[in-house]
Amino acid sequence: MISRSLLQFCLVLHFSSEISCLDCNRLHVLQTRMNSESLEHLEKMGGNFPFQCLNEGIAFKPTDILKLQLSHQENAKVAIQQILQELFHIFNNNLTQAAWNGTSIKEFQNGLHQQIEKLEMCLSAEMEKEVTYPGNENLLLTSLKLKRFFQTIEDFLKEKQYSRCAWEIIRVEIPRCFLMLNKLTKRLENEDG
Amino acid sequence: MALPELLLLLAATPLGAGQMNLTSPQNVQVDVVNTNFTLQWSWDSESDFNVTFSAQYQRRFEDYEEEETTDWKEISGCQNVTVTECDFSSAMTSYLDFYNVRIRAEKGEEKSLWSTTLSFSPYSIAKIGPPGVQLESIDGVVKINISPPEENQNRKIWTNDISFTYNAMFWENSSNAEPKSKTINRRETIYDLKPETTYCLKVQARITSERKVGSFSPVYCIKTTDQAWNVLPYPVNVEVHALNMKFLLSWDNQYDQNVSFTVQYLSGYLKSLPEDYSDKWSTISGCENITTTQCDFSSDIEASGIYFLRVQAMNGYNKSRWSNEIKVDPCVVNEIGPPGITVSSSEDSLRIQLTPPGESENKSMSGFYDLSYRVLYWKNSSDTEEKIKEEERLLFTISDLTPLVLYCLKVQAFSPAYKKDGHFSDVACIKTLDDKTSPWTILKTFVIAMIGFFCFASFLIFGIYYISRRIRYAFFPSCKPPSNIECLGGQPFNSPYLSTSEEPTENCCIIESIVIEETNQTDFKDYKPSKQSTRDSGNYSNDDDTSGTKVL
Repeated sequence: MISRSLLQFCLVLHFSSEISCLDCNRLHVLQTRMNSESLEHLEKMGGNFPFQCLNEGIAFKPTDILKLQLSHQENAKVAIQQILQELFHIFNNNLTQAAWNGTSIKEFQNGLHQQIEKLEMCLSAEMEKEVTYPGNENLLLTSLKLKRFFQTIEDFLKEKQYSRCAWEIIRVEIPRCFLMLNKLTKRLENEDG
Repeated sequence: MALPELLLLLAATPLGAGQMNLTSPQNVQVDVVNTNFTLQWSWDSESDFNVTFSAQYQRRFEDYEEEETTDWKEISGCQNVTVTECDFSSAMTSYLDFYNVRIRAEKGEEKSLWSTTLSFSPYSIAKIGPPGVQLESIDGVVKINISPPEENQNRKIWTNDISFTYNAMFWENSSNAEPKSKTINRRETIYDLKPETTYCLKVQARITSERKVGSFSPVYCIKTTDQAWNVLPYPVNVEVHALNMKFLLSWDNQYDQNVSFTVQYLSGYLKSLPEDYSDKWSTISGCENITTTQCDFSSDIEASGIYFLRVQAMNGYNKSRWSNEIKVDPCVVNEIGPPGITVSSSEDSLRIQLTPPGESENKSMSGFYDLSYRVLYWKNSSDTEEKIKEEERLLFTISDLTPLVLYCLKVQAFSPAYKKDGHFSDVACIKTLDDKTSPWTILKTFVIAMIGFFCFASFLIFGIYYISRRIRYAFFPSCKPPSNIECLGGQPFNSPYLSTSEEPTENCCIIESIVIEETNQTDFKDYKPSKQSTRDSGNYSNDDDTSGTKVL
């Protein structure tokens, strides 16, 4: 009986105001799960790195996302959300030349989108409660660093006209972003206790 | 390292030779909306119409971790301006870098000191402009089509327009009702509006992760039409029921005629993309032209993803409009079924072995949720209250119970992250065992213990006997070689296993006195006596064994 009424309450909340009954303090549990699922989809998307793309791959040297010195003071949720949104944006570019498995691409994008939406709920709840982050300026600097990193990726794809090799090179680079996401998710876990 | 400050005023630097009585401009500010940059300042003696203002900028950027600053350059749109603001959008090229700007007043040859330098990060201080809104009233619903704040612009500061969320405020025009706020997608349909009523709305864009809240669009109003009941009513009360990830969509049967239904789904991410998704709906396999009013769509969706579903009714060539779309976030909508339980009892405890919900259908819920389990147990006889025990593991032990009492229990799985409680299992009742041990049990235990002890003891004795016999045979054999050989050759005939490094001379001397008679009887070339003596030795060692056990 108790469970029923609680469930209905949650569903009503969900449909009325987009606030689902997610426990934002336990978001890391879902994030960890979703990170690995996204990575799996990414893996399934295509085959091994094509031999003919090796030369182009050497030419592409973005700064390592793992070396970005993200401030420890800011809220990890924000950085996670930015990375997810940038990834989602990248894979919305012209993928026709990539010749990847269409189903896997869809699942990858749908998974990312779900992850973004869940985080968005928690972030907007925080925003409405006007939770202030410590070191707001560091937060903005982090955004700038992340934005610059993803800008280089976007520029690279555009410059190579979304060629197959360009996409393959990016697909090799993206798992590092998930490593970063896992790192940040760990921090989320510690923040929430 | 980049500077921690985003907007700061550096100390004024005296520059320019001809400064006289002219004061420098004050309160230099930058106002950024989308890619429109406006420089503003104030100046004390504004009455002087001959005074003009000129501004300069420099760019600060990180190049391979090194921070670099360009030289001061003149801002083309901000030279010799006569008002106290100017547009300098064209000077801004990299929105993710930092810029410094400064301004001075000029009157003929006379130039003021440069103002304080304003340093800022364009992206960080930029405000989001209003989004574009298009409304369409059709079949009693209102369709909203939003275009992001910088659509159709070549230069964009918000390069990732996917990061926008849109917040719509809408209200009935004629009433004084409070405006409702709703987070909407780029393309959204608002249902459940009154027919023939004018509604108004305004929309703002937000980037939640950066705490940027944009300005509202102008207010748009639209009148709803009559609901489209004319041909065939659309399916209503569309609902999703899901148990253990088996998803059923159901709707009301409100039709007299023979009507068939088709169900379609859409992957949720498509609603966030700029492209129109109206042709991206797919029909659920097995739910095309069905006559039942429910549809199992479990096999068409993945747990990691959000989906939208809609139903259409058909009667011959007549088609209803599509039902209201229903959003399905699988793990949120799904209900967790009961876990499987096996209970066993002892005198004072119960052991409950669980299997995760859905495991019997090969769809274990532990693959979708962070499951923990909650056991509720109580004494069946009395009306004592239930006790609760929670555990992440699949094995519960409830201890400190009273013997010979009937206990009942039920178990549910729950997911803390989703704040979701699963269904309870059926109630299982079990009696704890009797505490007093009967004489028969004592006897049985005693007999078993005794048998066990004797088996062990005899095994041990036999083992020791056997091992000591082996040792004795190997290291102290009673077969002695003839004493002359022993003494002359010095080779260790006495033991095949002993190494030659033993002191043979000593050996031979000790034994000599004992075995003299025996050697007299034996033939040198024959070893029969050895056999004889082995037998002897056997007897001897046996004696020794018994003494060994005594020692033990």
